[in-house]
Formats: sequence, structure tokens, C-alpha cells
Amino acid sequence: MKVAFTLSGAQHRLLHASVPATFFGLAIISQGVFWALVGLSATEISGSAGGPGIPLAAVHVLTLGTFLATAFGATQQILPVTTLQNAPSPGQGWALLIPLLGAAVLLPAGFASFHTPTLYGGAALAAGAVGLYTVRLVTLIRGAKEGTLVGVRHYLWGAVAMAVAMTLVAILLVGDYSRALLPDHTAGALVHMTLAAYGLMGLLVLGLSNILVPMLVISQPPDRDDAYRALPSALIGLGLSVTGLLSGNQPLVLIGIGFGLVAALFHSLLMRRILKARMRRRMDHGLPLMIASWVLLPLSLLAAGLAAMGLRVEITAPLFIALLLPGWLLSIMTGILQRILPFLASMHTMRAGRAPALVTHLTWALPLRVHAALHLSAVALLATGLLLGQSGVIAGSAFAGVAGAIAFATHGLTVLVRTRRHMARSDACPASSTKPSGSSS
Amino acid sequence: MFNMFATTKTGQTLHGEHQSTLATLNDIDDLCQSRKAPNPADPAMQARLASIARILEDDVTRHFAYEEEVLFPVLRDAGAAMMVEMLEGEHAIIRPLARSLRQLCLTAIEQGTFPPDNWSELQTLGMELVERETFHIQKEEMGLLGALSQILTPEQDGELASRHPAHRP
Repeated sequence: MKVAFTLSGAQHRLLHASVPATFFGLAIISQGVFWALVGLSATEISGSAGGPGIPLAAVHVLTLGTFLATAFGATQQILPVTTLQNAPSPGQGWALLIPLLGAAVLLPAGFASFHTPTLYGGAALAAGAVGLYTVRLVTLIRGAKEGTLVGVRHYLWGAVAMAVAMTLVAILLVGDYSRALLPDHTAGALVHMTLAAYGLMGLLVLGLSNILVPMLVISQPPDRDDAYRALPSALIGLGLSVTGLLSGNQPLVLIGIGFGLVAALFHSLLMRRILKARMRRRMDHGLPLMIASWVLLPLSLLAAGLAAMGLRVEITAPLFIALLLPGWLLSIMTGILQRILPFLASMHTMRAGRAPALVTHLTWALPLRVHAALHLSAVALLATGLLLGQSGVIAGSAFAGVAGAIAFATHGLTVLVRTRRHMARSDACPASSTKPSGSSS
Repeated sequence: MFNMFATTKTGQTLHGEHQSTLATLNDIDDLCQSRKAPNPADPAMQARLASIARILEDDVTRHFAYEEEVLFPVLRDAGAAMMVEMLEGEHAIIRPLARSLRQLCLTAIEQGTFPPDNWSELQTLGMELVERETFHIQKEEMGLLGALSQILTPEQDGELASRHPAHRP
């Protein structure tokens, strides 16, 4: 028998409930704030050339408040479970949340007002949060037991590298507002976005999808070769694009985007195979959004290619950002998050001798259907508004997006309330805890 | 696709049983979605109900018994008492659900009909069993099977796998 290896038990691999609740709560609220800011800046967004203002603030509310919050919260929970390590302590969780929350407020405020002290404060907090997360991620990767993180490990190392590079560029960009640190600020901003969205977030999504999607749809995880098939193209694409942007070499950028499309194709095909082989046939909540994201990723790259070629840049540049951020990333994040919330809540209701709450009993299906419809409509309207240069259509997308975000928040609150109700009933009368704690519809 | 749990024979065996159980759970789920009670007098429906009853007996009784009598003591000795307790607790909840559902299926076959109360009871039990057992399998796949390669030596793995009913001569 292999001795001196202690499995500390499922409970020790769960973060204290308050930690994921607040990370995911921040993500949910930020989604609504993003769309509200889109609505406020509808006339600016169409034909926008970038730069400080409400649109850039909106982008950073989404990237920091929703994407990083979801990624930080999810990886701190998933990785300890799958790698057989103890979860971070509540203190460690809060230590990461606080700078992220501060950054998600100050940095967008700084961009909206172009108040450089606020911008610097937000940037410092963002750099601190990402730095802390990077250290946490490295610790979790290095502590992973042998045989775990199959088909995921190299993606995570790639994400670590992207996080460092992205943060360095971000610091230069913010500093460039006061003194000329960069020869071309716009190119620097595009590099930062590439490293952040396709780099850090993209590699996390590609890697963790190899664990999460099979788990959520109950399918076999891919083997190592299949799982890593997209990685070389993704890394080459990122490297070439960034080099091309920094050197003003358009053909290099386009070749990089080509490699990105290859990576996206491999990823989509793998996800399709996993979905096809799922053992639970019923198409549960979240899958339509995940499937939409696998289409929006290559579409964003195609739009990026058109922008890189200089074709109607006033349209293709904001279009590429719309397909990338609220399109691909927000779709996959909300598709997965809506499944994780009740799953994780159910895990937290496990008590010795008592039935855990059923996931369906913690979930109210109607808000999720409403959110999916409104979110996809919002993305479609945003893309249409940008293509046609119609600020009214963009404002319509914001309305749909805010309404969808409210529906998603309703889902989150429902999970919270029903979980508490189950726990209260379970504590008061253990024998009754086998009965359904609520209804699902 | 290659099975990541093929690193241990025990894990591979249990994973295979999970797949078989999930196929049955899919069938139960499909059955329970029907608004109208099916006709157990129909030979095809009889065969379906009989198959569900048989697999519930095999999967739940045999699979759970193997885990509790053979595998869990080894995990407890390795320091995984909390995980074992959690899984045993879930077995204790799932077992009566499976037994009741099995009995309803057998009664329907015997009587050739579903009394209204029995059909709605089967739907309720069926949907709860599908969900609880699916969640249980998800946890075992993610937590238990992945841990086996950390806990078992190759010799132990071989010995435990040989004690599984599927491998006994």
C-alpha cells in the first residue's frame, strides 16, 4: 500500500462557500453593468477608434469583473478537486477577491473619466490581483498529483505566461498616458487584448473545457493527444499575432490569426465529439450557450482578420471585440457558470447521513431560458448594430443584455435561497432532508 | 476516446459499470418524461421495465456491495475516511430509491397495468434516482476513480480488480 498519502476528504477540497459566492456574484453583477455601459455609450461605440471613454470602461468591467472573477473563482475550486489537493483557505480566497473587486471598480472608473490617479490605482490593483492569482495557479499546478491534469497542465502553464505578459503590457499602457513609454499605443492595446482574451482567457477556457465539459455533460474526458491538439496552433498564433502587432507586420498578424482559426477548429471539433459521446442524453441548461461560443470564437478571429487587413476598420474593429468579448467569452462563461453554481451549492449541502440537495431542486429553469435567449439576442443585435452603424440597434442590444443579466442574477439568487432553505430544513429535521427542497420548473 | 481511468484495472471496471448505469438512467429518464402512463401489458414495454428492474438490481446491489465491502476499506486505511463516509451516505440514500423503483416496475409487469398513483410515484422516484445517482457517479468519476492510481499499488489494484464479480471465474 502507498502510505503517507492522505486524502483529506471531499469537504477539504471545497472552498468556503462565501468565497466562490462572492467571486461569482461579482461576475454576475458585472455582466449587467457591462451591458448598461454599452447602452450609455451606444453612439460612441459605433465607429469607435478606441481610447479612454465609456466603451473602454465597459470592456474592463466585463474582463475584470466577469471574466477574471469567474476564472479566479472557478479554478480555485476545480483544480484542488481534480488534482487531489486542499482548497485555498478562506483568507487566501478573500486576499485575491479584494484587489480584483477594487480593480473592477477603479479601472473602469478611471477609463470612463480619464482620471489618471484613478486609472493608476485600478491598474495597480489589477496587476496585484493577477499577480496573486498567477502565484496561486502555479502553486496548484505544481502541487497536482501525478496523473491528474491530463490534457490540461500545459494550457495552464501557457495561461501563466500570458498573465505575466498581459500584465506587463497593461502597466506600460497605463504609464503611457502620462509619459511616452510606447511607440504605438494602439498596437500596445491590441497586444494587451490579444494576450488577455485569446491568451490568458483563451488558454484557460481551452484547457479547463477538457475537464468541465465532460464533467457537466457526463462524457469521457479526452485523452492527452486529443486534448493538446489545439495547443500548438494556439501558441503559434498568439506568438505570431503579437510579434506582428508589435512590429507593424500585417502579414504576420494574419498568419497568426490563421493559426488561431486552426486552434479554434480543433477545439470545436473536440467539444463536439465530447458532446456527441455524452452519457446523459438530455440537453441541459447551458449547452446552447456553450455551443454558440464554439461558433463565435472562429467568427471573432475572422472579424479580427478583416480588421487586420484594414477593411472598414471603423466597423470590423469594434465588431471583432463584440464577437470576442460578449460573444465568445461571455457565452462560454455564462454557459458553464450556470451549471457550476447549483452543482457547487449541492456539494456544500452534503452532510453526514443527510441527502444533499438535488441540482434540479436548486435550479429554476425559466430565468436560464430567458437569459440564453436574451444574451444571444444581445450579441446578435450588437453585431448587427455595429455592421449597420446604427446606435439604436446597439442600444437595443444593451437593453436585451441588461434584461438577460437580470435573469441570470435571478438564477444565482434562486440557487442561494434554495440552498439555504435546504440547509435549514436539514439542520432542523434531518429525516426530512431526503425530501425535495424546492420545485424545479 | 481513450479512457483516462485505464491507469488502474479497478478504475476501469468501475468506470465501465458507471457507463452501463448511466445508460439505464437515460432510459429511466426517457420513460419518466412521458405524461401518460405506458402500457405494461405491451411486450416491448414489459421487456423495457424488466431490463430496468434487472439493471437496477445488478448495478445498485452488486456495484455498491463491491465498493462497500472491497474498495472502501482500502480507501479508509489510506486515510480517505471522509470521502468514503460521503459515498456510503449516498449509497444509503440511493439504495431504497432503486429498490422502490424496481418494485414498481415488477408490480407493473405482474399486473399488466400502472395504477395512477403508481405511475406518478414511479415518475417521482425515477427522476430523483436519475439525478442522485448521476450526481453520485459524477463525484466518483472526478474524485474516487482519479484517486485510485494514487492509493493502490499495482498488486493491490490487480487483487481488488480480481475480486470484482465481473472478473471472478
